Amino acid sequence: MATAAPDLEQAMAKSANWATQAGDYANHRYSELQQINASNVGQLQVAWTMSTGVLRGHEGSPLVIGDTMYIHTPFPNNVYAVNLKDQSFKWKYEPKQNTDVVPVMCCDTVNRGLAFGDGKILLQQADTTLVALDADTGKVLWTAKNGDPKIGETNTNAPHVFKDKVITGISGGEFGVRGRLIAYDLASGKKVWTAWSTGPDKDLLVDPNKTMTWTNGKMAPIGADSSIKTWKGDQWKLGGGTTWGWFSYDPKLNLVYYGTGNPGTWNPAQRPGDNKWSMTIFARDLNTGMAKWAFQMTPHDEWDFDGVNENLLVDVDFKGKKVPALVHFDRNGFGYTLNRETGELLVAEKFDPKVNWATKIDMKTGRPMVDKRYSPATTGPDVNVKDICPAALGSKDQQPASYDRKTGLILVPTNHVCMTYEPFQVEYTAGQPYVGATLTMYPAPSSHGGMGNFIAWNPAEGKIMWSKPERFSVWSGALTTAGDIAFYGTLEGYLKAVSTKDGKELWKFKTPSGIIGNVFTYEYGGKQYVGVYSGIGGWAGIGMAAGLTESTAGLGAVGGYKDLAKYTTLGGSLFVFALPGSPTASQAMR
Amino acid sequence: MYRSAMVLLLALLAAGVAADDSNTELYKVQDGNKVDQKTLQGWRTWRALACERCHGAAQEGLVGPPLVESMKVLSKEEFHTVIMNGRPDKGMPPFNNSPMVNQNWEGLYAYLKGRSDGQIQPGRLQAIE
Repeated sequence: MATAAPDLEQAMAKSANWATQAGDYANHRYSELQQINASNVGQLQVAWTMSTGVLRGHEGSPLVIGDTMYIHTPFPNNVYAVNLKDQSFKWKYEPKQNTDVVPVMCCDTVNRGLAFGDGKILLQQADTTLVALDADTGKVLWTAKNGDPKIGETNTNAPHVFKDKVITGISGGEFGVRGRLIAYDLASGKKVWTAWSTGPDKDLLVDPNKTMTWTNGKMAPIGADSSIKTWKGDQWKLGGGTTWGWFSYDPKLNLVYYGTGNPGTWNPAQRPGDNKWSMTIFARDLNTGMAKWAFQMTPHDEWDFDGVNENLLVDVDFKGKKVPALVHFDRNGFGYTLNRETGELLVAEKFDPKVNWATKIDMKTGRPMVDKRYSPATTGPDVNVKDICPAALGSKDQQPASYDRKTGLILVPTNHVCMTYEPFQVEYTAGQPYVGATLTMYPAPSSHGGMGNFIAWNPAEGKIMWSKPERFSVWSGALTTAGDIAFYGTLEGYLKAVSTKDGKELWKFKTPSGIIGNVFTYEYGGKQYVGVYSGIGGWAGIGMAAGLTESTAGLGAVGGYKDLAKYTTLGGSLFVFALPGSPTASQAMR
Repeated sequence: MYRSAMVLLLALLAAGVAADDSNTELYKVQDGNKVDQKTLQGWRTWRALACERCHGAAQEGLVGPPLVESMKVLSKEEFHTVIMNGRPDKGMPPFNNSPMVNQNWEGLYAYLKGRSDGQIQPGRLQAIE
């Protein structure tokens, strides 16, 4: 069993802190704090704000450990340690990165935040440099390089500290990058293992006889050459399967969970086969990286339904039995519940009723039943396939969901967007885009006219419990608290609080720019605070981030989002909210 | 889009056969979406290199500048220099290692001039019969 970074585990145990991007190892994004609750959230007001100095998409959230908040920015990836006592800077880290990395970053120059552990703050820079900073001084303790921007490799993901390791991934699914998950030793920065998404078994870190996958209604070994025999020739070398999402960890099973992205080009005709292990959830041993099980959501992708979305580790009552589960809302529009110990498929249902590319998931094989009317691989290159739902950015993208431990429901920020998709032949050149499809996106037809919903999901039954329509995609990560409330941001710039019971809106506040960051909470000096970055960008906001208001570009994302210009413009600030006055004895909780 | 197609048609009728200011014909276009082979290869190069990621699907600008405007002031030589060497400080990558760009850069120049002149429609093109 891996040894712990004790300071991280102690920090996570206290709900006053927000010590990891998700608040815990399990991706719950849930806080026990309840000073702010359903009955008083209507009085929430701004406590303090801070400019980040960068006008690009602000994803992720700050960390709070004790009396210090750690803030990050999009490229150039500055880090600020803020003293919560007076909001002064304890230190600043402003890396010098080659701007060559900017043209090879897909979908805006976002960064999803920092990690903490062993007295260090970990930053994964865009240029693929992983940096460990002294949490007290900001001094660089070690750096490691996990990719090469010259061949299109960049990073947008947050690094994750699990016990004594730092786990990071790679971006570049639109540049023919071959995905992998990499583990570094937290103390020294030495690489411990690399687990590739595609290629020969030794690169995958699998055991053909022991690594299992869902086969014919039960778990069976994946067998030899499970990846390379699902590609033509050596196409697996450009196989995609990048790893830019949120990772989670179960200390009891010592397993790391994460998803892989789209395969190679977006033109399916050029890569016959299932293209394993793109679009896959992996469960890997933290110490060795060896895969215990794998589950591929979208074999032979035809839609860019990356499988990178977060996996929430929750225990569910499934058919009368308590099951250690993993819940995953895939870009492909299906909400999956798997047994996280064994990898068995339990539930797979649509979390947006508009999803049409597949009629359902065959529960025996785990494969989607593809509707040929919405299948660009069926019609072939140079044919424009219309009204595919969801669009390439999925029924949900990286914007993480939150598990409400009180109700057992998962609160999910979603997209409600459809697309046209026309694949075409492309050649690979290192460092150049390797896309091969033209697409346009627009609000789901014959619906409420908006492009998003905020929903509550029952993971044991695969059922939407309530759904709150939004004008634009909800591109902000959710937070739920013991105060019976959920928070999320909108692309117009509202931070909203809703009741976890029925989704009723209890409070909202308009920040200066659209919100694509994740809501977080902490307690300082006996008072609970809720915060979020305000700063539009990311895939949905790239037109905005780039100064564009009318277009059908940005990998097809801008068309449907051009109305955003009526509501917001670029920004880069942190907003922190609290209840008015000093905390009273009764408010000061629990 | 019906309306913009009409506008383009009228523009075409007014302009006759589209030509460069110089005496050599840069591109041929019919109905706004049928072009000569060289220009067609230029468009295919545009599409394959995913230029729309930065310059927009209708060349109207995104992270990168609007080429419908830039092409009005950029000479052919300047265009060649920029596409081969990039403008790394501004986020434009060099394309000198792309076989497709090396082969078709003149067609790409013709295509973008046609777009900038308002003679070629945005979106999908086909060959003149």
